[in-house]
Parts: sequence; structure tokens; C-alpha cells
Amino acid sequence: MKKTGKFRPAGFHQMCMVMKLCTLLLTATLSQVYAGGIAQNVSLSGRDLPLKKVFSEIKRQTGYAFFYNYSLLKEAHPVSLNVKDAPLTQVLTLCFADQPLDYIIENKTIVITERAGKPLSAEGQERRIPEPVVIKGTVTNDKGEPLQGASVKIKGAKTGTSTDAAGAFTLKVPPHSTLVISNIGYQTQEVTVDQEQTIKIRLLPAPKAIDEVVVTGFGESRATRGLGYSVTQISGDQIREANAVDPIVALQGMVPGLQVQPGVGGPSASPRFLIRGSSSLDPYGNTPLVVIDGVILDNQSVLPNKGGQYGSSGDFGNILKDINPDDIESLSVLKGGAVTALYGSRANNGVILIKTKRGYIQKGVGITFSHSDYVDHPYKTLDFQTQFGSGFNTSDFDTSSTGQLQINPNSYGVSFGPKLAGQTVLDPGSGLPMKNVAFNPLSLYQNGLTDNTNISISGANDKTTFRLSYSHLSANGITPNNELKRNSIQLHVTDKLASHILVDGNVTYVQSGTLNPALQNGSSPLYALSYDVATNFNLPYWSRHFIDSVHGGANQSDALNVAQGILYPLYENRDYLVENNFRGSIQLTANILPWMDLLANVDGNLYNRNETSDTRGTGPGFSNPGYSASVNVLDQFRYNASLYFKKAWSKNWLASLQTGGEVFTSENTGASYSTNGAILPDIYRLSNSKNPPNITEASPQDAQISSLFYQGSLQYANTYTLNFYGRNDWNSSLVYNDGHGVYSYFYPGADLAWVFSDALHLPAWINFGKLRFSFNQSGNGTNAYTANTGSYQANNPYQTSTGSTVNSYSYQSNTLPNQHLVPEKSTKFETGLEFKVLHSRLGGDVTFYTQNTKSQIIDFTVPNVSGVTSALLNGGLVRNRGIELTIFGTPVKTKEFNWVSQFNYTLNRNKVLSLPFGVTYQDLEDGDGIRTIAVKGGDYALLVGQYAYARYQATDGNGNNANNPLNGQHVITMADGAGGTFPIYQRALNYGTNANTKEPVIGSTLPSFLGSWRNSFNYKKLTLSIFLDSRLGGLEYSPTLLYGTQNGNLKSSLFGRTAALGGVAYTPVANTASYFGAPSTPRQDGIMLKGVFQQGTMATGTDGTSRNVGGMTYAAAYKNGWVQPVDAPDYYTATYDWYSGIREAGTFKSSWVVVRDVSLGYDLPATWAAKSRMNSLRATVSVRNPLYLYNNAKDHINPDNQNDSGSGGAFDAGGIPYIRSYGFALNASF
Amino acid sequence: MKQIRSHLYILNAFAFLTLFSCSRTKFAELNSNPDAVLSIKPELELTSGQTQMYNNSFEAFYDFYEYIRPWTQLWVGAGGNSGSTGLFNSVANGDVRYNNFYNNVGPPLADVQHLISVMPAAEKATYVYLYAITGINMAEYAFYTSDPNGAMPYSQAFQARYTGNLTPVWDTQEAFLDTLDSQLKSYVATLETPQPVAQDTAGTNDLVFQGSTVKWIKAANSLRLRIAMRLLKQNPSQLTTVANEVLSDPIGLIDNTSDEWVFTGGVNFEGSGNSNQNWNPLGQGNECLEKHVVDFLVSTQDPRIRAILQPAAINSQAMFDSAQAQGQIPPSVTWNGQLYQGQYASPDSANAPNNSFYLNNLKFSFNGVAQSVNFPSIIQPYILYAGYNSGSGFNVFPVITYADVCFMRAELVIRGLSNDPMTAQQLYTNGITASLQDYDAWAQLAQTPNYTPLAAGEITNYLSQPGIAFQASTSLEQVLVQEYLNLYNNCNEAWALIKRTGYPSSSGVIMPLENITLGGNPVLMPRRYEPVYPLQGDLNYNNAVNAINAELSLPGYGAANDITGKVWWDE
Repeated sequence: MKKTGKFRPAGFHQMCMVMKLCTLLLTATLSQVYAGGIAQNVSLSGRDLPLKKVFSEIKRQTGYAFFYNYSLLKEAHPVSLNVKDAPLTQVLTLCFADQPLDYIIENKTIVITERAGKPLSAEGQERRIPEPVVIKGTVTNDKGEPLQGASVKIKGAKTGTSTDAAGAFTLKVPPHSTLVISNIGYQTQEVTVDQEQTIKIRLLPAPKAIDEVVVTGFGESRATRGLGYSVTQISGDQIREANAVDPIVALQGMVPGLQVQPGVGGPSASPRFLIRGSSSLDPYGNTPLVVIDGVILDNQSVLPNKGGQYGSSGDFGNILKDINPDDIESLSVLKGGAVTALYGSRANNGVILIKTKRGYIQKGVGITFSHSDYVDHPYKTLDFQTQFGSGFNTSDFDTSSTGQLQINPNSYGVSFGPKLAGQTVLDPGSGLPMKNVAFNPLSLYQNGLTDNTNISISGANDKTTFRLSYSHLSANGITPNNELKRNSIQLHVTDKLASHILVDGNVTYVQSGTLNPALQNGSSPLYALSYDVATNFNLPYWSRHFIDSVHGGANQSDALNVAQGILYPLYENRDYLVENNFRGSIQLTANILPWMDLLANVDGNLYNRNETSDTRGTGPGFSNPGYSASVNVLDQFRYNASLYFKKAWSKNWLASLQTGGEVFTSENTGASYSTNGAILPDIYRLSNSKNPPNITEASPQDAQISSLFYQGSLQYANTYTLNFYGRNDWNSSLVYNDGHGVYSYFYPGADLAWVFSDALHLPAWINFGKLRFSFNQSGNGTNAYTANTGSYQANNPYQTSTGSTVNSYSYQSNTLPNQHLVPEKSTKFETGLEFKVLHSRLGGDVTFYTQNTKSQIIDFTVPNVSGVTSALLNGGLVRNRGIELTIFGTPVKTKEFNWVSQFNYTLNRNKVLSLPFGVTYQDLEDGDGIRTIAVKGGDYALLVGQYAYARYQATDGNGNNANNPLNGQHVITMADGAGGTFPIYQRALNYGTNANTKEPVIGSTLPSFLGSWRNSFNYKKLTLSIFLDSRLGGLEYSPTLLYGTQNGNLKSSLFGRTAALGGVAYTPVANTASYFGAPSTPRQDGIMLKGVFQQGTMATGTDGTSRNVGGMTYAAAYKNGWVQPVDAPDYYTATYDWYSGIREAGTFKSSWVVVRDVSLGYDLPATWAAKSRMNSLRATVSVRNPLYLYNNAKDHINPDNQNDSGSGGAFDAGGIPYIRSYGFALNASF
Repeated sequence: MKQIRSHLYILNAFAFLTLFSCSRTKFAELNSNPDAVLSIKPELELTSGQTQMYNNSFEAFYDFYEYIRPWTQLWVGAGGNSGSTGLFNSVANGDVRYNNFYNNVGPPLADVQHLISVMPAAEKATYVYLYAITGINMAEYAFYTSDPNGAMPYSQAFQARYTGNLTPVWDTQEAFLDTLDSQLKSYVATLETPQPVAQDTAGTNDLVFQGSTVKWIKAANSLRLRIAMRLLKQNPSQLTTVANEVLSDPIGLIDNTSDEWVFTGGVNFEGSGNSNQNWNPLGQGNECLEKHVVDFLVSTQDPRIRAILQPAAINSQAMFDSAQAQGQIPPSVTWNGQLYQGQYASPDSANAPNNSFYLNNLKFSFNGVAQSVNFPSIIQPYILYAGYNSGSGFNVFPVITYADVCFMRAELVIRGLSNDPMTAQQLYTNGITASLQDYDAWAQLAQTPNYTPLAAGEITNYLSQPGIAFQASTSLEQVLVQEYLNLYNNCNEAWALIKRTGYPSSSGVIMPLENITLGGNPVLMPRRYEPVYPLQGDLNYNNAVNAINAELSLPGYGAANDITGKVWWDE
């Protein structure tokens, strides 16, 4: 029944023609290039090589033919050669030294002749190639400390080396060579060497750090001075210092414009990270692209955590945990649009570019060893109250049949009961005596231990570099049975295949296993302990007795269902994910002509996930176990080839152009299966399925993007640089099944960098200044198959009670299809200023950007009464506009002490300028009567709620809105309780008169700004760094907070319970009531509401008379004796409960200042290291997240507790305790 | 040179790849989901719609178990209704049927009719009956949805895919019920009209009647009668008209238990074991039956009690005495000797002195064995959830049974609203017989453990019991009480019965229910759901709000969130 149309719309033929022409042109150009590009340099090495063999090798390498009389060669003796990339003539001279032979080159033929006269000796003057001399040396900085990785090159030649960790190098050079020694941030030095010698070079810091180089674009290093957009580069060491399993988590607070929030599932968890806010209205479509050595990780492997509010399974994390920080050389965050020309539309949300380490030339083979341990110490949860136990009121004890004091079973689970005084009481579930004290929620958690060991071997000669690295990481999370193990092996090889061809190959294989990530939502222990229990729940007992010791299975006698529902699964279930990730890339750079390179690369990312979930049976004898499993295989490949032209026309003009094509393919297959009922306990296999197991197969999600692109630059005097870009994508996701669709889109861009400090005559104290402007566009497709929405799909076969099978079909989705999708389009503008002043002691980078994304392809929610729940639309305009600021400096600098400081500031305003189709809101995430939405004309992620507080609005006699000073205050109404009514806050839904007042805006979930401050103090060999991180603003909603307050378990529910805690004394009168039916004796726990009574509200006063108090404030009515206080249990229950409570009361502004990291490093003395035959040895102790200096969260909810990595996430789901991590690391190199 | 040549090959291969890797044909194929099917036969979608009518576990969990059963006193929690009346004030997460209709049931059924309507004439002619059969299913669920919701979109609903209408208007409930009646009438007329070509009536794809037109005609007529019964308060004369029409229809109403509109769930329809605890009626704790109902069932020796209730844990005088001696039961209480015990539904009854043992878990030792039991009987889970404890039976989802039809007809005869050829007593007797047979069959189908099947003579015995034996003076209450008991497995209709007739009632003489009070104040039974207020930005905001405002202006509707208010038919 499946049909694929053959229909080709007009224009298709022309388009194919254009593409064919482009390809043809490209092929022709490249072929020509080869014809003229025969190399004339030779690399040869070997001892006692017969000349014949040498000739054939030279022929192979150069294409030059030899012409000679065979008898001549009989006279010749073998030669020993060791030349690298040497000119042909030079090699020939070496070959014929001391030989009775000579040669002439005619055209492309080398004619060997008999030497007339005495053979030239090796000492001959004319053609003698002097024997190379060995130069050894060390390179240090101005303080005499060794510089690793400094470049040592022979002037005028391409050969060279770089220094090892001890700053040492060894290089064979022709005598009288000039060595050029350079290192980033230092002044380049030249040294002339005549004979074998050992030299010491001391590099002085560059007066102006104008030669800073960053990794950009396709991974090439470029001088920042020529970049017209903002890049932040972080070194691998900085990432490793953070002691995070996942390198993205380590970036928290480090990069202006990048917002990172770690996940809550444990070491494996998915971080939420956004560059310059959210541009897509799909809340999960804003993940930046991560590129490792050319291998692209997109949102099919950097999977979002769609925890939402109701999903309960743990967060296993995504491919980011399969990136080994030990292998990272550098990480660049490319924020602007320029990279989209290179990585295509998927780079629309910015790119995080990771370059891994490679080998470098050193004595023999270098070995580095590093080991780090860190302990995750859970030190605090949200604030539980510890003063009152279970019950409706302070005298709510029960007496058992044996006359013992007992927790009242009828009010068990609400903590407004008697004071906790350590008395002996009976547990209502077990019937056993227990001490009446508050439980310690932290006792469920444990210290987590992570240890990571890395060994790497690296080496190089002048042809080849290699680095082989193996890491083993083992981490125990703070929740019971949570583990992560990771083995990672990487080989990175670069090789000069020939003098002009460089191959850079990289293979990485990572296997990780994750067990039991921390469960969230209803299964989260912290959520359950806030919501479902009483403060004096016997946690110590039940966390040992959750199994029915007699019958097996879950112990059903816990009346609060915590033992069965939380503890049993926590300790008995096993959710396990194994990931295999193979990443490989081969990049080839061929220098075809001095001014032209050919670049080609093939990259692959193979990522598979195998998840199994063993749910232990809770029934007697552990009956009814559950088992489910899934496999998922993602295969993504990228093939890219381009030509790179570079030409300097004069001293001042330099131009480059890169042009090429790319094909990216992606396929994602998978299946999941589960048992359907079980036969035996504790067997977790499909073979244990009682009924035919459930099996589903996922669609392959095939997608392909083919592209042609160019990028170029034009530089004048190293001062003005114009970069320009362009790319055309042909995107399969925009092609309909009949072949129509706008699937080709072009996007251009350009940026300009102006180093005005070079161009203008500025005061001497200004060392460097640069202005930059960047303008870019990019297009984007959508997900595989989205365009072809609207088809049918088979349902699982239905098995009738009589055993026959019935097949059926239904629509694949409730989304209205759209046959006219066009590509999304983003436009980005950015301008920035970089400067360094006062001998570069102070510097900064300020960026202003604005970016608009329009024609978004989005499922918009439509009224379901129409028969569909959403419509696939193509529109909307989202704008991000902001400022990024970095200020860095060296406030103190003496011979032995310096203080380096850096301050980052990020401000982003994320607005929705328009939505299509007359839509005014787009749902981002929702649930529980509160949701985040993108509002036309408003913020991207506003929190709104039908269950927010109603806002008072006075009306005039005609029912029209009237001005009134009380407008906007919370509205109070009366609720039915036992025996009468009592005042409660009114929900907006029940009060408002229109959409805006029935579901009012509570506030924005986006932070006002982010800021961080890093300080590093260096004294001799000691380094102390202190890193502060902060966020201001952005609402969060926490059901843990709401329901924990409702049930009296959290600290904020203490207010008003007794006179000492602020309670008002009163005696309830007749016809007032309470939810719990409290006795009408004098009490001390009155709470007054704050707000205005809803129009027409009747309240019973202290005189027992019922009056209309509508329009009065509570305070005024109380003053008149027309209303009574509400007793504390009723106040908390009514305000915070699920049925009638105010969700807004569970929100808070997430503002905080945290000490993110403090670390102390010490370089052990070189002599000490040398004694133990090491090149260097460094020890570091650190503590991550030691304390919050300021935290605005109500009841100190952990600000990191968001269980969703999407842009609409603002919801806590139980979360985890606060964690302080103590780390110790040792790095040694041999 | 060799290397360079190999580079050339790479490059050429790459160019070739680029050239051929972006053809539309190839991309179209890539971007087509291999699981996707572009056109289907309409009957394949009928099955999808039918399963969605019955398989919503959230509806079971919230609407049935949390709300309607306790409201109608079909159930009382093992802890009673003590403490608060929150249960009667809220319907949060309820009304699952509303979105189920618009998201899951309506679209496939509407699509079946649409696919038929756009077929070439020859093919279309073979689907004339299927069009009607599908319409009957749609009408039933539409009626079911509107029943406690009042006005809702129907005549313009489900058109987005066909006309692009995203903003259908609401139909008032009055107009809506008229529309349904005329649609059903025309479907019956169609199905009773012989067709010139052989008809494709879906066969096994019709999970209810396997394409039997006769059964669908009976079902449609019976549904017309049920809808008309709702007009008892608003328009009794129209009720009479419809009743007489269906009674005189050549094929008529459901007239035996094998033609009942009862959907039988297939293998694992509700899941089993841990797979879907939403269906488990004991998933949220133990549930009991109301005390007066249980006492009535016991005193009349009703065989259905074995299908719906488990025997009480305290089942002997000795055991009762042990519990009493150990202080679990007040000294003044004596054992009534019943093997089945009910539970107090009224908070005030539960709170009465000496009644707390009904609510508490009783812990005592009997013959040296520790006991932890409830005094009231716990419901039998299997007849509602055959997958309980890994059971492998099947469940039924009754829509309209033969017994239902008998009781409706009997009620109309007694009220003098129809020209039924049968007497009220005949219909009453037939109804009870059918009901007892149904519950027996259903309990067996569910493979209820330790179930004792209906024995010969039990029906006769039951029909002779006081309160059961037909008496003209109490006939109406007797019919309605029997209908209530018969609707144990169809709680929405039990709810509607109480709203429509007031029976069973605390003032009844046959089976008086408890008067539900809290602090002496009556606790009212909720009668409708809350109107679904559109969210911010809803494209259909105006139509929705206008419809809700129109409902609010109905005299008995009450405030929007007052669920004790009434929809149009209930006023």
C-alpha cells in the first residue's frame, strides 16, 4: 500500500543541472591541479641503499625518469640517506657524492653520466650537502620554567619540532642553520647554530598578546586577530580541573554566553546547556552542536533529557559522558553564526569544538600518567522541619489496644502533629516501638567515589606523531546502587604520507555502563519524603525492612507506602545502560601547490545504547517481575572535501578561499521489547514472559544533507580581515514522499575584524584593540519524516479473547500535516570589542549580539476538538539579544607571586516576536496546572498557571473593571470544610474573566544574568584558584516544595504552628470550619491570609454572624472581627494541596552565588621529579561546589535540581541533595 | 603518483557522491518512514477507534475508581469517607473521556466515514453498512462524553484534516442529543435497507459484533432508547415517541444476552502483573461496597455478590470474639453472622461511636495466628481487572446489556410512557434473569479464583425473595434498584440512573442507601464535570468561552467549578 510518488515538480531538472555543473567544475579544477602539481621534493631514508633502488624511489615520488647505462652503476657504491622533504637536486647531490658519476636533468629525465675527472668527495664545496648536526636544547620562559610544546623550526625549511614537558628538544639541522623558537604568548626568538651543541633559550613574554591562536571552524587554528566573531577557548587542563565525568558540565560558569546546568541523575546525567538562549520553539531543539576532531555529535546522540514533570525513570545521560576529558587538548565555544557555513544548519545553536591531544616530538616515547579521585559528599537536602511529627494537631496521638502511645493511623502522613520529643511511640505500620524523632533524609544517600586513571603514550618523529591513551573511570553516585563505569581508548596518529600530504587519523572507542541513575518525580526519595510521609516516619526501620521477610516481595505493611513504593524499587530494581561509542575520523591535507591545499575527511560516529530494566517482583515470593530492554544504533557519517587556496600578493595582502562539498548521513535504528506478565520471579529475560512479549521496532530516521560551501578571507596588513562564508544545503528532511518540497537553501555570511591598535596611533598604554562585526544567515530543515506527517501506521495486532488476531491502523500522529514547508532561517548579527591595556595587565572582550530565527517548523498546539491536537506550521520569529563580557587582568604581579583574575558576565534576552497562524502562545512544557510557554511579544519561557493566585480586580456597578489600590492583590474566598467554611486563596482559573486573568503570567523562567569570577593566585610552585559562579533570576516551580509544605514536612510550614512560631491565638466559633475538622477549643496556631476577599464572599465573624466581606482586605476584616484566622494545618493544606492549592506558592526565583571551585595545586620540585625519573609531577587538591554564598530558593531547594534539559524546563522533580566534591589528582609525565 | 591518483579517486568518488546524493527521488525515499502507509482500507481504522473507546486506563483510575464509584456509593474505601469530603468536591484529573473522545476515539471513526465518503462510487457502494456501523460507535461515545459534560463540539468537530476547520463551535446538549437520535435513526434505516452489492462490514475488524448488521441495528435502537431516557425530565413526550419507534422497529431492541453491546477485552487488554496498575481496582488501596447494599445483597441471597465481592476476613463467631476480646471491636457490638460485610459511606456514620472498627485495620491474634484484616469485605478485583495477580482471564466492558434494555422498558411501562407489548413484571423478571446470567458469565470469563458458578434454581430462588419479588406498589423502585445493581460494571450509567431517577435513594423502601452527611450537613453527589476552560492562546478560545457562558446561564448548572450542578438533561 506504500507509495512513493515519481512526481517531479518544475524546476527539478534545472536544479539537477546546476548541481551537476557545480560538481563537474569542481572535478575538472581538481584534476587540473593534479596535472601541474607534481612534487619535486623527496623523502628517503635507509642505510646502504643500492642506487637502483634509490632511483626507482625517486621516480615514484617525483615522476622523474632516469636514463643511464647499466654498466655505469656497477662502479657505484650504495648510499646511506636520511632526507625529508628535500629538493630533488639536493638528494641527487647526496647520492653522487664520492661516486664516479654525474647527472644532467633534461625535461623530466635525469641522465646519468660518467664523471669527468675525480669524483667529488663529500667534502666537496660545490654540491656538498653538509652532514646535519644535532642540536639539543631547552626552552624556558622568563622565569626559567620549561615551556612545553614550544615550536622549534629551521628558518626557511618546513622541518622542526616542539618541546616536551621538560621544555627540551632535539633536532638535526644543517650546520649554520637559524632556529626559530616560538610559543604562543611569547616573543619569537632566532638562534643561529653552527655545530652540535646544547642551547638554552629563554623566551620573553610577548608585549602584546596579539598572536593568540584559537581553534575554529573545521578545527584549524587561527589567530584571533583575524576573527570577526566571538570564540572562547578553554584548555583541556581547565576542564580536567573541574573533576566532571562529562566535559560539558565542566564548562559551568566558564564561558560567557554559555549556560550550563548539570543534571540530577548522578554521574551520567544529561546537562542542560544553551549558547545564547533558545532560538527554536521546539524546547529540545536548542542543543549546541558538539564536534570532536571533526566528528559531529548532534541531538540524535546528545539526547535531551525529557524528564518533564511526570516521567519517572532516571536520566541515563547521552553521548557526552562518552567523551573522555583526559584526551581533550582544547575546547572552543563558537557562539556566532560563522560556523554554520562550515557545519551547516545544525550548528545554528552554536558549536562546541573539541580537539584531542596528539603526540609531539620528544626523547623516546613519552608516558603520562594521571590519577584523580574525588568524593561526592551529599551534605544537605532541602530544609525538612524536625520539630513536629505525624498528626492533624499537636495533641493528635492515639493509644494502642495495649495502652501504648501510638502515631494516630488515621492522620498518619501529615506532619502537623505533636512535638517530636523522642518519646517511645508505636509505628502504625510495623506496630513496633520507635523513638519519636524526625528522620534524616540524608541517611538514604551515601558518599560517591569517582576515580579516574589515565595512561597515555605518545611519541613522534619528524614524519609521524602518535598518542595512545587509555582511561578507566569508575564512579559511584550518591544514590544507592548508582554507578558509572567508563573505559575509553583513543589513538591519534598524524603522518606525513609524502612531503606534501598530511594524514590525521583518530579513532576512539568508549564503552560506558550506567546503573540506576537517580529516580525523579514520584519515585524520587526526596520528593516522596517531602510529600508522602510524616516527619517521624521510621526511615531507619523501613530502609532495612522493605522486603517482606516471611513471604518475599515488598513489605506491604508500611501504611505510607514508602517501603513498597520508594525503598523497594530503590534497592531492588536494576536499570542498566551500556553504551558503545566508536568515533573515527581521517583527515587528509594535501599541499598540491604552494598556494593550494586539498582537504578531505571522513568522519563517523557510531553510537549504540542497550538498556535493560529489571523490575523485581513486589508480590509474594517476588512474583510478577518486569523486564524491558531496548537497543538503539545510531550511525552518522560525514564526507567532506574542499580546496584551500592561499595567496599573499604583496607584503600586505593575503587572501584565502576554501571551497568544497559535504555529505552527511544519519541513520538511527532501534527496537524495544518487554515481557508481558511473568512466569518466575527474578528472571529477567523475554523467555520469562507469560504472554507473547511486546516488541516494537523504531523507524530508521534516515536523513541526509548534501552541501556545497565556501569560506574565505581577505587580509590587509594583518590589521583588516574580511571573512566571508556561504553554504547551500540540500536537506532530505524537507522532501515529501512524492518528491516535492523546498529542500535547497543557501545562506551567506561575512565578518570583519579590525585591529585598530595597529592601524591607529594610540597611546602606548593601549597594547591591543580590535573591533569586530559579523553578519550571518543560516537555514535549517526539520527532523526525519516530519514533513511526511499524516500517514497511517499499523497498531500492535489485537488478540481477541477467542485467540484470533486482528490488525488495525491509525494515523501516526494527531498532527495536521503541512505540504508547504520551507526551510527555517536564522539571521545573526554580532559586534565586539577586544582590548588589552597597561602592558596587557588588563584586558577584556565585550560582545553585543542579536539573532532572529524565523519560519520555524513546529508542531503548534491547536484545539483538539478539531480532530487534531497540533498542526505542523512554518513560522514564528524568536529573537535573542544580549551582551557577553569578559574582563581579565593581573592585579598583582611580583617576581614570585601573581594574581590573575577573570570576570564573565552574560545577559541574554530571549523574546518571541511573532507566532504564525494567529497563535499567541506556544506550549513548551506543562503539567500540574502550571506550564512554561513562549508568548507572542513576550519572553521565550514564561511561567503561567491556571492554578496561580487570582489577582484582585475591583469592578464598578456595571461590572466593568475599576481602578482600585487593592487591584493585583491575592484573592481570598471561602472553602467548605467540616461544619462550615474557612478562608483560602482563590485560584486564578476560578476568578479570572479572560485568558490572561484565568491563567496569569507568574514570571519568566529565564535568568536576568549569569556571572562568574575566577581567581588564580600563584606563589612559586603553588597555585590556588577560587571560582565563584552566580545567577540572578528565573523562576522555578517545585512540586517537592509545594507538597512538602502541604503536608507540613518542610521548614517553611513551621510558621504559625504555635504562638512561639508566630501563630495567632483565637477560639474557633460555630459555622467556621476547617479542612481537618479541628476542635473548637482555644488555639494558638492561627494564620492570617494576605489579600482581598473575592466580591460577594460571606465570612463568619468572631460574633458568629455571617457578613459579606467582598472587596475587603483580610487584615481589615480581621480587625473588625468579621473573619477568623485559619489554623496552621488547614492553611498549609489548603494553600499547597493538589486539589485546590496554589501552584504559584511552589515557585521561587532561582538566584544564587556559589563557590564553584577551590583548588590548590603544587608542582613538586623538578629535582624531586628527576630523582624519580619523571619529567614533572603535579599534585592538586580541590573542592567543587563547597558552599553557596547566597541561595534564594525556598527551603533551600537545590538550584541544580531541574530534571529536564529542554529550554522550557523550570521544574524540580525531587532532585538530589547538595553535593560537595573533594578531589585529589596526581599528574606525572615520564 | 600512485598516492596522488588515489586522492584523485577519492575526490572523484566524492564529487560523484555529491552529485547523486541529493536527488529528490532518493531524498523522498530517505524521508519516508518505512512504517508509514499512505492509504488504508477503512475497516482497519474502525478497530483502532473501538479499542480506544474501552482501553483508557486513566479513565478507570480516576473517573471510575476515584470518583464515580465512590460518588454513587458503588464503592467505599476501606478507610471510609471519614475525615474530609474532598472526594466529593473535586474531579481533578477526571473527565478523561472528553479528551479521549477528541484525541483518540473520534478521529479514527471520523476518518473511516471520510475514507468511505471520498471513495469511487463502485467501492463506496460496498461500504454503505460500514459507514452506518461506524456512525453508531461514534454516536455512542459522543453521547457518553456529553452525558456529564453538557454542550460540546460535535457537528463541526473532527474536520481539521478534511476542511481545515480548527475552530468548531459547540452544540448545546439539547441539539446534540437530537442530532444523535436522528443520526442513529438514519443508520438503522440504512442497515435495514437491502443493498444492491455485497457489503464489507469489517468482519473481525469490528471487535464488538464482527460486522453483524442485525446486532448493530438492535444496538442502535437500544442506544436511541437510552438517549431518550435521559429526556425524562426535559422532554418526556419525545421519550415516548422514540421509545415507541424503537419498540415497533422490525428488528427492534437487544432481546437476548448474546446480542448485548458488550465489548470483551482481548488478551492482556488491561495489562497484567505490574504492567498497568491503573486498571487494578485495589491499586490505590482496599475498596468495599456500601453497607446497606451489602446487607441487601446478603438478605436477598443475590448470587451476584460472589462475582463482585470477596468474603469478609472475619467469618466466624470465634474469630469475631477473638478480635473483640483483643480490643479491636467494641464490646457492645455483636456479630451479624454475615459472610459479607459492607462499609459505611457517610462520614458521620463512620465517625459514630463504636463504628471505628469498620475503618481500621484490625490487628489481633486468632488461634495463634496474627491477623491484620479489614472488617468489611473487599471487592472482588477480577471482574474489573482479570489481570490481577497475573490472572489470565478476560474482562467485559458492558455498554448496553439485555438486562439494561429490560429495565428501561419496565420503567417506561410503569411510568406509562410507552406502548410496550410486554408487562413490567415480565420485563423485570427477564432483566433480573439476564443480569444474574451476565454476572455469572463475566466472573467465569475473568477466571475469578474460587468462584462458585450460578447454580440451577438460584435465579428462581432469588426472584422469590422479599424485596425482589415483583410488587406493583414498589415496582418502580424495584426496577431501578435492580438496574443499579446490574450497572455495577458500568458505573457511568449507575451515576446517570441516580441523577435521572433519584434511585437508589436514602428514602427508598426496597434498598435505602445511607444518607451521606458530614457534621450533620448533607454531602451532595457530584453530577457533572467541570467545563474545560481553554488555555491562554487557544485558537478556539471564543467559541469555547461562549459555550461555557451559555452553560453557566442554565438555571441548575451552578458555578463553573461546582460539580454538584447539573447539565441540561439533568435539570
